[in-house]
Amino acid sequence: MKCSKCGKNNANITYNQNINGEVTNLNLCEECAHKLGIFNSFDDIFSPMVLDLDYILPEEIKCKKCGYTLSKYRNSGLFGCDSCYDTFKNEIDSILLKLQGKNRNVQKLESNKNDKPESQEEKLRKELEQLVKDEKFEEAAVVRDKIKKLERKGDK
Amino acid sequence: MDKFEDVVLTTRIRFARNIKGKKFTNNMSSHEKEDLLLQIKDKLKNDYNVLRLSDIDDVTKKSLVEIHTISKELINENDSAIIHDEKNNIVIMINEEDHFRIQAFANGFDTEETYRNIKEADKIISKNIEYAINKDYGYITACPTCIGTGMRVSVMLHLPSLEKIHALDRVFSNISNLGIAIRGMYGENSNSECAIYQISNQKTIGMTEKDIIKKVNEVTSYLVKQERKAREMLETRIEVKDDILRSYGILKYAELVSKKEAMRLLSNIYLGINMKYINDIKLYNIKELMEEVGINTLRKKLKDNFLIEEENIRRAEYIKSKI
Repeated sequence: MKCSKCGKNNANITYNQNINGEVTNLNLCEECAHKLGIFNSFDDIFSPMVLDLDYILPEEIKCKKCGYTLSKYRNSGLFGCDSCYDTFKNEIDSILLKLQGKNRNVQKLESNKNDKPESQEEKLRKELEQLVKDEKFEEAAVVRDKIKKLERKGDK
Repeated sequence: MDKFEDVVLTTRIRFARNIKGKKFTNNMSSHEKEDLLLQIKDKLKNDYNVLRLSDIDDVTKKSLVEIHTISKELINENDSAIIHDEKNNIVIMINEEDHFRIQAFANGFDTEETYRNIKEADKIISKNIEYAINKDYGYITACPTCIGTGMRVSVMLHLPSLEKIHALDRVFSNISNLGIAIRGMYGENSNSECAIYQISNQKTIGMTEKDIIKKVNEVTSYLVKQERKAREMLETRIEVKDDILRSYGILKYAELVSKKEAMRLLSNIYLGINMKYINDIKLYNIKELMEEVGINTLRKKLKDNFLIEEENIRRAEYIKSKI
């Protein structure tokens, strides 16, 4: 069995941890076990044998939106959704440099549905901001009430 | 505008597009894909007729793959669909690697019209559906090799003379650092039986659509010029003329013709018409035949679902009826 930390050496140390019912079993090589502060012999028996497991097996970053991981990309050459391009931005920047020599778009994009007129609520919020800036608090209060009304409607 | 029809067979442009906030096709369950397809169908209902691939018969689907109108991947995909706008020469694949693969086609060399048509189709979809875009990366695609503009411009060229004078390597190496990919069309990279080559832009980000088109135009003009020069050089070689006229003879009289042989002989005849050795057939007819010799396309053309054993007989007959 290979070490679950480095994945190279043979694992000859089994580490079992049970903290409040959360069980973790690891198979480690001697080198990694030492690095992580797990001792083969119980020389240092009073050392706090509680490990920062996140450090041992760093959880692979997942796209918040679709759960995709970089290793999936490495297998398929494809990403999982548009949000992956935010989640893995650093990696994607270098992937694009390697693949395409450039990593920034310069094409003007077709005006999308994005351009839809702002909602009434958005308009009111902008108005409110300006009124507060101008210290017209009475008028601001009226606008604020209008927004609240709209919000309540939206909740229903 | 010179459409270089003596050398360029077709021009096509493809846009890869995805829908904002949706998982890419490769990451979707069958149920999700089905759902997305229904949404797309509904949102586009005033502009386009979305045709499910599962509603198209097998022969038609395979024929569309043979003539490179849709990808093989698309017909293997459940819950995939196409939009066919015949008037504007547009075919849109839905639920392929990206949610939309918009393609525009033109005969001969015509990036201008193809571009105009694809922009129009792109506008129609974006009017109804919000695309996934990102301020740094432009149009977002499942594969980073398509991102940015999402645009691939490709031109299919017939380069038999450069092949015959063994100048292809030299000519291709002259354009190797321009970011243009070259592929043999019917036989990967190797000497492509029928001398059809496809060039396309490799890069999709960091350049504007117009820059990409400009580059493809430049490379196409260069290749056309070189091929024309090579044809002049071949004029003195009687064995070339002999080979061309023999090809014509075979197709006129043969009883059995395989697809591979048909492509090779039609390629020779195409050259023969351009070199004025053959004057009684139209260039366009040969180009059409080159697209029609696949087994399923033949079945479509003949309106007969003939057995595979009859393939070569039926092909020979069909070609004879056209030349």
